[in-house]
Parts: sequence; structure tokens; C-alpha cells
Amino acid sequence: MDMATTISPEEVKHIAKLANLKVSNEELGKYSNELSETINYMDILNKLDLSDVKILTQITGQKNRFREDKVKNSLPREEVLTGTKNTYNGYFVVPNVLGDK
Amino acid sequence: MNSSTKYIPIIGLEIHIELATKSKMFCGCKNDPFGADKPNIYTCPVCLGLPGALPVPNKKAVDWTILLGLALGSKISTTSKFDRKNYFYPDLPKGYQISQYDEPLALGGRLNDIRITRAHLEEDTGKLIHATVKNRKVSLVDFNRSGVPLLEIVTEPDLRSAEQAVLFLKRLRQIVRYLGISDADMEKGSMRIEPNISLSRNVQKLPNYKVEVKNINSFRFAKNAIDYELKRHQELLEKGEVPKQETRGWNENKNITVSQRSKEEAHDYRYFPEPDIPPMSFSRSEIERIKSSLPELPQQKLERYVSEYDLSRYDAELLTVNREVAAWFEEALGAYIQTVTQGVKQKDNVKASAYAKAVSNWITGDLANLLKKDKAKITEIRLLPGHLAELLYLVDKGEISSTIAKQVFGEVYATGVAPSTIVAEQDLGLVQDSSALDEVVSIVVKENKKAVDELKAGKVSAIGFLIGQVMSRMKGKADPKQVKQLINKKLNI
Amino acid sequence: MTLNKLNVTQAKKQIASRDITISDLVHDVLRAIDRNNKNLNAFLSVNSSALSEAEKLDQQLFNHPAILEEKPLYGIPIAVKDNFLTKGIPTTASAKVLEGYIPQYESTVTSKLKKAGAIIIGKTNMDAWAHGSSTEASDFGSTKNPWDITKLPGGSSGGSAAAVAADMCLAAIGSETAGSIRQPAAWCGVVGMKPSYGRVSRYGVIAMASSTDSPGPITKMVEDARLILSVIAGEDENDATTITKKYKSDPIKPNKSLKLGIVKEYFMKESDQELNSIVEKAIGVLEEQGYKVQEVSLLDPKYAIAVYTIVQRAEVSSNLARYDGVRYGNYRDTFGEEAKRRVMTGTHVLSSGYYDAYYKKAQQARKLIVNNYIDVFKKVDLLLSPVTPTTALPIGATEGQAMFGEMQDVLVEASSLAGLPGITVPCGFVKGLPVGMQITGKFEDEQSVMQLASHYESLTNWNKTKANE
Repeated sequence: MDMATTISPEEVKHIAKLANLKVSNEELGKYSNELSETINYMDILNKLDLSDVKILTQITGQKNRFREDKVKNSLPREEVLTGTKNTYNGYFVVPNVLGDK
Repeated sequence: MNSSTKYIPIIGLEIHIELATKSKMFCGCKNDPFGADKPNIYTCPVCLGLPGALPVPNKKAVDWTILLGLALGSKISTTSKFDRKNYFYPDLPKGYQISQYDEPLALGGRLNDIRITRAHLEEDTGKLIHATVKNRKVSLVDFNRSGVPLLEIVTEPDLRSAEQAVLFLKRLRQIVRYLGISDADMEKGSMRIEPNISLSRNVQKLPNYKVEVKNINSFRFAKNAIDYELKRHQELLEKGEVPKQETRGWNENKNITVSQRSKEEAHDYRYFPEPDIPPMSFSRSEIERIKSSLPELPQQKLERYVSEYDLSRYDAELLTVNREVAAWFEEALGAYIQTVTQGVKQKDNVKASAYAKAVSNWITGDLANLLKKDKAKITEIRLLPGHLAELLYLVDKGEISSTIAKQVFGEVYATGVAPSTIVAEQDLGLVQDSSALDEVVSIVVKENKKAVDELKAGKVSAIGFLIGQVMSRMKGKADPKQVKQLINKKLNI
Repeated sequence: MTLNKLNVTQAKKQIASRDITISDLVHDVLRAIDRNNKNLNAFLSVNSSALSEAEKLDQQLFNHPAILEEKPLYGIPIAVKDNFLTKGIPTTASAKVLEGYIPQYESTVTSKLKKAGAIIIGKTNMDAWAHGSSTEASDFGSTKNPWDITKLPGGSSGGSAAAVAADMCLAAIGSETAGSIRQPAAWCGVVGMKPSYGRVSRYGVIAMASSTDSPGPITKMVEDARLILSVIAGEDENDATTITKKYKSDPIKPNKSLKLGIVKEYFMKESDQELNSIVEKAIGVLEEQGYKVQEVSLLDPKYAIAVYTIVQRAEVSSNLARYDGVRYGNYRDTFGEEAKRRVMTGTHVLSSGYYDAYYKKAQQARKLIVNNYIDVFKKVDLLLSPVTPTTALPIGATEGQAMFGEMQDVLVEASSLAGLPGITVPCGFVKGLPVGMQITGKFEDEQSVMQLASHYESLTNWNKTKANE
């Protein structure tokens, strides 16, 4: 195992925070092992010669897919709010968020 | 303040403009967050971030971004794409914002000698309102604004003062409004600005910190906030401290900025190309097509008014303040020239500049006053460009006096009835019967002996009084020049 | 025979000839579900108004016989994987985070099925969020393989594949990100068709990897797959990645001029050797018919595992960010282990300092994979190989595995990354468990893929053997 690609429990903590996931301290070790194993597998890509290769993100080869600036019916508000009980006067309710982004 | 240490302000601006498309950026919901009377009425699976929903980009928003780029002299990228900017916040329904990272639609450009770094297109977030519900402090989320197209413009840190920044912002707003792509209203939130501020001793070497200021919603606050920051930084630097790199919020009640969070723990946005939207590419002809739809921009128009119409810079600035006033002026001028030259064979010899000043004066004078008094927009009034043209022609022909013209002007503005109709209905035309006029002159001369004596004694201004008396009796329906002649004749002057 | 054992083509004929009613058909299907679902756990929910819908359709048919021409799937009971949003009907992607979620809108696929007259008989079980190749990662218990209930059905469309194999529906809809249609179809001995990426709209399908997700049919016969695909395929204004060129679905006839390539690297030494030889035998059957078969070489499929794991998990980490419990669903602490694993891996490979080393590299390697296929398809029209390294694995096989899904799908990931169409057809058994042969075609060439698959099917009788359950 290439130690340089190992994901430590500390890193797992950082990743979990970025991903807005809860990982208990007991689980850190388990995920550290699993993520490390997965990431280490990726070393296989180093065997490929990728110089001069452009990245591919759209396999259909299509471009310029747009829509016209036309207004369509929105969802009726009653339906919008049906997904959760945490609503108030037509708003979604979340715990108070302090400060700005 | 220690004036021996010369610190130079290093200010860059980040501006967000809400584009006034009919529908949102990636879905067909109505784009009218400010006008919505209830929360969450202009939402759908896409802008709500429901499972399985997919974005489809609004072509108009893309075209308008390119249009602004062209207006700013930017280079329009022949290939561009959207990217996902990943972070968590309750007003961001998908947990990522679709934006543009390394292939924005427009790069470079210039305005007021400030370099534009880039302009790109993204979507707006929902809105959070703080409230107390059932004794709990909560935040309420409204997604009417989620998905509204946002144009982001970033400048290089070329600005050197708060005043310069405000001038830049005013000019940018003027251009945006000229293009008709947004109402760019800071109070409504359709134009938002975030300055990045620091001080440096050396312009060549950028400082090792910068402070971002948020929550500025007027040009006045922008100036105050920037000035406040510059002063705050100066004080710290002179003490030997480096201002903390952070985001601060402008508090308009206390006129200070307050720390919000450290910019060092910057978000890791994990940008990657948006897989749900194929990339964009623009042909030269496509960009030319959009370029050809550029209207004459304010600066160009101003220069043209000065050179072609012989107007002063000052007047030209007023007439080009926005596209509507300029269009009104141009239409009035065109109608005026057409009225004057009808029947004239050699129309090419007509120089517009001969007529422009008259039209300009009425607009920047009487009309401007009326608009200001009524807080009205020039596109909403009953007075039409053709009316002004007609009025000016009536004066030119000698059918009404300039005094009557002012009166008629006010009436047309109030009623929308054509000037010639008002003049006919109220019998406001210049009295043509010279004997009637002569008689009035005689009466005035007889009844104002003091003024006559003063005039004969050499007091030139007395003629004005006498003319005024005649005009008053004539109810304005006399040509002041003609009255002056008659008085002088009667008194043998 | 009881009507649930019919396939779509047979049922259509019998409905048209008035030999059966739709109500009878649906009744038999519901009875089969009732009898078998406790054991197999293929369905998460059953459409309680299916019978009344059937009665309405019978009535309409009586009044308006021409409706059969207008609606090609009229009265056909079809099961739908639970990651397709069905308005008013619970949709969970087999995830606790979405337990109780009732969608406010309809997916394009189910909307098209309904418009074509189909009856959505129920929602099928899957690996939660489609993360897996076993269905064992479902938050609501695994589905069992109808051929052997101690075995897994494969995944993530395991519920759909098992439902078809056990005659609990006439056909089913699944989705494939890499293997999720073909692998469970192979393990359950049925036909699984993954169309070209962009052929079928993803609007209303809970997203896994946006750049490879492909909805497709799982059926008892190739012709059924062709019919269903012709109904659900097409450009969708709500999905900017759909192919704009109109999809033409011609009737299938054998086409012996198709040049076939056997992919050398896909007969791995790590695979079950009996399985490999079954597939070789199947190819032999085609060779006997006069097809030109040659051996071709593709990139080592292990590269595809790495590329797919990075790209898919990266997109997954972003696609699952919307599940924050604010507008719908439960909070993020209800995510299962596999989901957490994948989201974290994906977050890591996109994060600052790692993007170039992983995500960028993977998307570059993806281009190599695409080019590799383009080269090979200059020589042949179709590629043949096994679908899976083994037959159905036992329940519990996924435990402790960091990359179970991605490893199992080693033979289908490259074609998924390249967006190519592919099908699996049953081609034999090893120790009583089904084996599938995969046929992969050029981008947008579903027709050739189905032509060969259908021809092979007509030459053999594998689909006559039924699972005992």
C-alpha cells in the first residue's frame, strides 16, 4: 500500500465535513481503511500515458442545448410544500442560520 | 494619520446582475422574485432541486451575457461550459450552484479605464429570512429567487478610491440598463456589489491580504463602506499590523463593517464540469449576430451628440442618462426636423445641430422639472416627442409666443392633447391684427409714465417691464420682439 | 398457463385477439406478486389501483378498438425500479433518506409508458441510490434471486430483474450507470438492454452518475425490449443530454453481415472458467450461422474500474448533496454505509489538491477508452463477451467490500463510460445459475445490438427454462 495515498482518519473527518455527513469517531477507522483501499486502486491510472489527452465530459458529442426564454407553469404551491412538515406560511423552515455564506 | 506612509488603495469589484429574462436560468418558472406576492409560487422540480430534476439553460440569458461582454470590449470565448460549485446552505437547493469556473463566456474588457477580468453566467439562490416561529429562532426559505439568471462581473483590482468605484458602478449600471438586460436596481437586489479592498505601498506588488465586504445595497453605502475600510486598514498598517483576510458585512445603521468569517477557511467548492449540460460553442457569425444587436452605448451616444449636434458635454450627458430619454430626444429631434423641412427640396443640407439645441433645452429644462416633480418616467407621460416638435414649429412659424409655448407645454404634459389643438381651442395664437397690438402698446405707454421716462433716460431694463405689461394685457399672445419694436417706435427710440 | 407467464409480445397478441382481458392479466400478475414477494422482496410497493386501471382499459378497448394501434403497450403490466419518480406514488430509491417521499411530478419514462397504455404494476427494490451490484445495499432488505433464494439477484436493478425472472410482471424498467441493468439481468437469466447514453430521458430518475445513467428495459424476450425502448426513447426538452436525432426502431431481422468481435481481455482468468466457456459456446452458435467472428483487443478492463469509480463517485457526491431534509426526505444522518462511502470518495477526488490527480486523470483516461472503442469498431460492428465474472453470488457477499459494485461490473464499465448500447441475453447455466452474454454496439446503434441478440435468442431455448420460484 502506497502510504502517500492513504486517507487517514483525520482526513476522513475533513472529507465528512465537506460532504456534510456525520461520521462517528468509531467509524473513522473503518472508513479510513475503505477509502484508502479504493483510492489506492486508482494508482493503476498512472500506467496510462495521458499526455496530450483532452478530458472528456460529454460523450454524446452534442453542444448548445438550450431552451427558449418562455414562462411555463410552476408547481402549485401546495404541492411544493408536501415533501416536508417543516413549513410555515408558505416557507420552508430551517434552524436559524447565523451570518452569511 | 502618518502621511509619510503613502498607502495606495487596491480595490476590485465583484458585481452580480439579475438578468430580466422572462423565465429562470435552467427552468421555465417565472423570473420575478421581487414581484412575487407569496413565497414559493414560482418554483418547480428544477429550481427546487427535487430528486431527478435536470437543468436546461435559457438561451436568452447566454445571449445577454455575451451582449454585455461585447459592450465591455471583452473577448467572447468560442467554447464555454457550465460547472458545478459545490457547497451546503439551506438556500441552495441542489447543494451545488451551477456556475462557470474556468471557461466563462467573456474574458477581459474595459470600462472607465478599469480592466474587467471576466463575466460569467450562473444561477441565483433562494432567499433566507430570519424569524421567530413558536418561540424558536428559525430561518424561513423562499425559493422564488432560486434559479434566476445571474451575471457575475469581476474587475481587476485597478480601482484606487471609493469615488472611482462608484463612478465605475454607475457607468456599468447605465450600460446594463441601456442593453435592457436588467433593471440593475440595488434596492430590489437585481444589482449587488462586493468590493475587495486592501492597501499597498506599491502598486506593482499586490498586498498579502484582502478584505471582501458584503451587504452593500446602495452606491452611497458602497462609498461609505470602502472609505471606512480604507481608513481601517490604514490605521492597522500604521500600527504595524496586517488587516485580517476575511469577509466583513456593512452595517448601515452603525456605518461600520463587521467581521463575518475568516476568508482563509475558504470553501473548497470542488468545481467540476456540469455533466447535465452539454458544452457551448459559438461561431464567429453567431457572435457577430449578437454584436449587431448592440444598441448605441451611452459613451458613444454622448460623443455623437457633442460632435453631430453641437451640444455641450453637460447637455449630452443629461440627454444620454438613459436609453429612454435619449430615444425620446432623438425622436423629438427627428420629428422637428421633418416638420421644418417638409416641402424643402434640399433636405441634405439640413444640419441637425441647428435644431438640436432647442429640443435639448426643453428636455433638460421644463420637461426635466416636470418629471422630477411627478417622479415620472419619460416613457409613461402623455407628452410625446411629436408634441414637442409641433410646439417648436409653432414658435418658429410665429404662431405663438415663447411665453405661450411654455404654457402650452405644461398643458400638453397634463392632458396629452396636441399643441395645435390647445392653441386653437383656447385662442392662444399670436394676435395677428397689428392695430389691436398697437392700441395696447399705446395704452401701456400712457399708463406707465415712470418706466417710459426711465427708458428715455437710458435705463435699458425698463423696456423689459414695459414689454411685460403689454404681454400681460395680451395674455401672452404677442411676439415680444414685435412688442419691443412697437414700443421703441412709439417712443421714437 | 397463468397469464403472468406471458411475455409482452404474447400478451399484446392475446389482448388484440380478445383471447384474454387486461383485467385477467393484471389479476394473475398481482396474484404472482402476492405469492412470491414475501420470499423474493422484489417489490417495495404495489399499485393498489392496478386492477381498476385494468378494468377501465378493458372498457375503453371495448368502446374504441383502434386504441391498440395508438397505444403500443396497452394493458401491459410493467414493474418500475424505485428510482423513477412516479407522481403520487412513493418513490424511495430504496433509501431511508427518501422513506415516505411522494413525488410531486412524473418522470419522462413512466409518463411515456402510461401514455402508451402500460399499467405500472409496482415499484421494485434496488441497491439504495443505485449504489451497488447486488441489491443487498437496499435500506429495505435485499431481493433474492428467483433461481436460488440463497443467492443475490445482482444490482442495482435487482428487484426489476427478479420480478421479470419470477413472472411477477411482464417486463420491467431498470436503469444502468455501469452494469445495473445488464448484470442483474444476467444473474436472473433475463434480457437486459442498456441503450446508448442520451437515448432515454433521465428527467425524473434519481441521479447517480449523471454522465452515464441510462434507463432501459428488462424483459423476457429481445422483441419486448425493442418495443419498450421504442416507447421510452427520444429527445426530451427537460433533459439537455438526450440525443436529438429521432430514434427509429425498425422490426428486428437477423443481419448476418454484422461483423462480430470477441473481446479477448474480457474472458478473464479471475472469472469463473465454466462461465467463460458457456459464453464461448454461445458465440460458437453464432459462428455456425455464418457470422464472421474475429478476436479483438480492448484496454485492460481494470482501467475502466478505476475511471468509473472516480467519475461515478464524484458525480454521486454532488448529486446526493440535495438530500438535506429541508424540502423533502430525512436528514443526512440516515444515509447508509455504502452511500456514505461513495459520497466521501467522490468528495475526496474532487477536492482541492486532488482534483488533478484523480478526477481530471480519470476523465482523460475516459477519452482513451472512447477512442479505444472507436478503433475497434473500425474492424467489427459488435463486441461479444461475458457480462459478469461469476454467476450470482451468495447473499452476504458484499460485506466488508470497499468496492464490491465497481469490481463486479468490471466487464460493463468501459462500455458505460463510452455511452455505448449493450444487451445481455441468457446463454446458459452454470450449476443451475444463469449466464448472460453481452453484445455491445457502436454509439446509437441499438438496432444491430438487438438484431444479433434476437437472432441468438431464436436459435436457442434458454428463456424457456424458468426459475422455480
